Amino acid sequence: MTDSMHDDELWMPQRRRWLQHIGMGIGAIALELMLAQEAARGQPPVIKDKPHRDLHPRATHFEPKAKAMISLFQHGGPSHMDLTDPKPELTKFHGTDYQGDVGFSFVNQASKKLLGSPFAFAPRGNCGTELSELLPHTSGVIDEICLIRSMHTGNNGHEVSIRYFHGGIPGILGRPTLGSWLTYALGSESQDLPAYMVLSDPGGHPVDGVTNWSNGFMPALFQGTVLRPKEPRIFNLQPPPHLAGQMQQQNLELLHEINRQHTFRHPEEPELNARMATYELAARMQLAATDALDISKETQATLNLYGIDDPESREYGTRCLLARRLIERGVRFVQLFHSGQPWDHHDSIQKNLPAICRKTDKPVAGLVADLKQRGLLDSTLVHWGGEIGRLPVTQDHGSPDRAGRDHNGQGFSIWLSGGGIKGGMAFGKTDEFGHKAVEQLVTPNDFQATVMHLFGLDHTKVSFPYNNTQQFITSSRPARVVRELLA
Amino acid sequence: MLRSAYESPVDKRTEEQKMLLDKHPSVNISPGVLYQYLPEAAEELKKFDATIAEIRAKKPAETFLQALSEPPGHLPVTKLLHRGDLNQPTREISPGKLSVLVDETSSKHFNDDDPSLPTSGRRLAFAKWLTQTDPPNPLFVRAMVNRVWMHHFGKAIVATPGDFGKLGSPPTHPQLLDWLALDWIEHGWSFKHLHRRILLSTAYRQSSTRSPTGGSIDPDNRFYGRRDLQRIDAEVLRDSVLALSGELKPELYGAPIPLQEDEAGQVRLDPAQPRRSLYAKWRRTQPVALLQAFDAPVMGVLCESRPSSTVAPQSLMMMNNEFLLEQSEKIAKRVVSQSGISNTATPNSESFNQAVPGWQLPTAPASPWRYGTGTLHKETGKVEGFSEFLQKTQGRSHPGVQVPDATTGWVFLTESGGHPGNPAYPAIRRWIAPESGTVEISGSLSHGSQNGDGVIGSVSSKLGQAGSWRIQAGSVSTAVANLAVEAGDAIDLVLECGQNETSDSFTWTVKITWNPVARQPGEPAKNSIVFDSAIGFRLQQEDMSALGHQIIAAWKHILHRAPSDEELAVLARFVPAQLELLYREPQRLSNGSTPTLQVLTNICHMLLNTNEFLYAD
Repeated sequence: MTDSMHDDELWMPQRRRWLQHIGMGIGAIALELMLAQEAARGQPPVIKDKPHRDLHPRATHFEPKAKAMISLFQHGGPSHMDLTDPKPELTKFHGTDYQGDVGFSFVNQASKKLLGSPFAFAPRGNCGTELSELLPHTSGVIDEICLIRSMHTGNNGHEVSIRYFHGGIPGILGRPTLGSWLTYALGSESQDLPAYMVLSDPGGHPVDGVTNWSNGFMPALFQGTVLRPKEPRIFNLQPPPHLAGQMQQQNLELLHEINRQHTFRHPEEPELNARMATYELAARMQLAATDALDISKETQATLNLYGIDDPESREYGTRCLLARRLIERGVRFVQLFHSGQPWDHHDSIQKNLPAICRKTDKPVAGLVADLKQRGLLDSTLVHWGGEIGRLPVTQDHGSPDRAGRDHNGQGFSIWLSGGGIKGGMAFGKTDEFGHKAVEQLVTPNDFQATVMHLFGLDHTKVSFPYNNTQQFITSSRPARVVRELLA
Repeated sequence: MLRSAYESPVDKRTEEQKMLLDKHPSVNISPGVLYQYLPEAAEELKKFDATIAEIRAKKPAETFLQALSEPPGHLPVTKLLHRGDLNQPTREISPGKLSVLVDETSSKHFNDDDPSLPTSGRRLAFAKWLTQTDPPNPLFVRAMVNRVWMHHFGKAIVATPGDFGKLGSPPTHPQLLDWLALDWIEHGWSFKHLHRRILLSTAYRQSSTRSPTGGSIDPDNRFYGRRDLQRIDAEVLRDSVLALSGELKPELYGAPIPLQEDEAGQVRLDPAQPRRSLYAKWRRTQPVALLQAFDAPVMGVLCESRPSSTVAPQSLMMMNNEFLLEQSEKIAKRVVSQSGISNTATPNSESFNQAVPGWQLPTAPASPWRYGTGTLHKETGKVEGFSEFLQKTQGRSHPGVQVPDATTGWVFLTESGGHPGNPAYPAIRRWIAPESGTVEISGSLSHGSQNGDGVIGSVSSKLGQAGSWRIQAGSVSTAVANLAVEAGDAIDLVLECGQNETSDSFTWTVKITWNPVARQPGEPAKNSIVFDSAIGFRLQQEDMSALGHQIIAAWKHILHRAPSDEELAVLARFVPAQLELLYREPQRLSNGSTPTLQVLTNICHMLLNTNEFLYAD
């Protein structure tokens, strides 16, 4: 602080003082945001018919358990009967014809020969939930995990089910994703970083591209901000040295004043205010993001926990660690994606499935363990899962070692941890071969309703008007909060 | 041995091998030295070269585009694909119309083959069906006018331009859509007519200002009670910036602008080709960062309508990306040259105050630098009779009204160097110590010409000569370590000609690091200050009188209006604060800028960031 600071400013909360003295553009908007935050969630919950276009922190409908969510999306359809859902019957009848009906995506290679898992299962942790040998590290944190074995999208296609998970209706484009809904309903906890961030893969976008973090019909304010997969993770984060610091602050103050004069000529244009806010956010991001993305001060033990010491898991581990650093700084929703769909094992599953497990198992388990040891797991919901699972029958490529599995949206597994979820629990069942979910079915809409519930939100009350209709994340399709999973 | 020497790679040869080869130059024949050994073979080689060049010149430029065409007499079989997968063909299907659009009385099918044409004629049949006029194709015409409308208004009549079906949105103005569609057909499918029809409409020509009543009745402006504010598209943004800097090359046609990566790995368009973004090269794997940030579509999927996002990475792009920074400086320089008031005009504080009433500019801090001439005493090594230059013109400091001067000759100093006078009048750049301490000098003296007899540079203080370098057509480091000074002591950088002053232009930039207290060897420097000779010259030469006019010119250039009184009041605070910062931290000018140019550049940069610039209202 400068010498000229008056004594009566000393009691001011640190951040507000920082903002007034160092912050950009006198921070009219930022200050407003911050005061809103300091008023302890003074904004009422979202109201039907009156959509807001701001990131003010908002009150929830009831006491939330989760404050942040890390979604580890596993594109392609992880093979549940090889990973999370042991099927002794499938092993027993391996090589014989399946008696039920099967919907195939790849008809030319379709066969009804049952394919027993080549991987061994064993009970894990105190809870005894069985997991495959391919997930040794996830097995180590199984007591923190609630495994849902009865997921059901009813559609075998990737995009159809991806859009169902993100946007609430199978196959439909142009809808806001779960992160957008949460950001809309809750506002931003962080004044220095975007509320909704996406950590993308060095190999490129996942299947269905930017739709995975689309704001759909909502304003762009609620769109996921993508971090680059390598350094610099955010382009243009720093000005050149001759502009850095005070000179850029002066420039941005000038910009803010010119824009403020402009809004007097164009009142009530939320878009103009939103753009002014992005400059303030950008200026704060320069400081905050630089700090959040710098993992050089993490201990070797932490790096090892995430598998960053191992070339195979380094990249995914680094992103898991960044996810923790972001939610620590108040980012609401962080989502990790793979390039393409690495779990889509139509071919040579025995060889290819272990590879993607080696890449992800340790980082994922490290994240849960690290959140736990830092006391963040109680308020952070971790989600692991793909959009579909795989069929119990063989996708035939001739030789047995090239055998794979086709798509299956009828029954598969995902897991949740922390954020008010009961740990050490397995929920729901598929049939004896793992083809269809048969007990306690959970749909993506149920999943969305449950996530909203954990954040203190009633999914039937969070709406946004579009096309003359109140839109909801589940699009008013049947959805229930799966209360059995709640701690 | 000679053979093994010849055959080993150049960088791996031993000293012995090198000597051996030097002794036998005839082994080392290259096309360049062939004539020394086999003149007739060299002639033959030249003929080959000429023939090669001749044939290369005949090679036609590849001006063609790859296109698919239909071979005659070929009736392809089309199969329904399972899940749209090429590898999963199912039953055979025949060419036909979209059945939902065909009334029950007419045929849903196209002919498999048109006997009057060499090819099957299927595509022609499809094109004719799309553009039939009686009755018009119900989908195609509406879809086209809907898209044109969307590009002008930022929103379409049917909000899903790629889906007029059940899953799409119904039209907000169905009669308007149909009227536009028929009007387009009646005017010969002329897009020019369609654009004119829309652009001359009352709906389009409205102001974007919201009225209180309109806002409460129709907050989303579904009924076009005013114009919607629209952010300019990515390409328009880039082109506008280039147009403002005067760099935009309006040539039509030709090869696309190549892609490059900047130092951080960010993809940009080749800055040497500032053509319209229409000519940008598009590669799916290398989206242009600037364009992509402002919602240019990813080329992997079809883009039927662009979103208009408002996110922080756009602001970071506008604030820190080198394209914006470079263009801002170019715009500032263009404003300076076009406003007709240069910074080296005669100082006139009156004109400044007229432009911007109430401005109080800070005075530049007293400079430690002096520019002049004198005599370097040969025995003491000290400068005697220092006389300061009184004239400043065109970035030069010199003694007489003109250069050369009758008495002193060609002597003058510039930001980075200068020219000595005749042997009695060396060019002397003097630095005066603010307080006692020690100084270290680093620098580089260069002389460019082979003609004449070179120059002598010397560093001199009250202790005598601390260093001296004679140089011709070359460059030398002029380092001096640990020279003790007291307040007011002069350090002179003396540049003398040799016997004569012809061809003696030189550059000599130095950094003087001043440490306030004498320190022991190895003791870390405390509060040392670096004085850069080039920045020092720029700071002192600066004339601020035109800045006000230039800022107003920048406003008119970028926003097409003069600043308002409120904005002038903001500027009256901004400009002095920024100048004061530059005086306090002159190292910010190490990019070669001057205080006024940097302030003007920053203002131009911020004007490009304003909502007024980024939105069409």
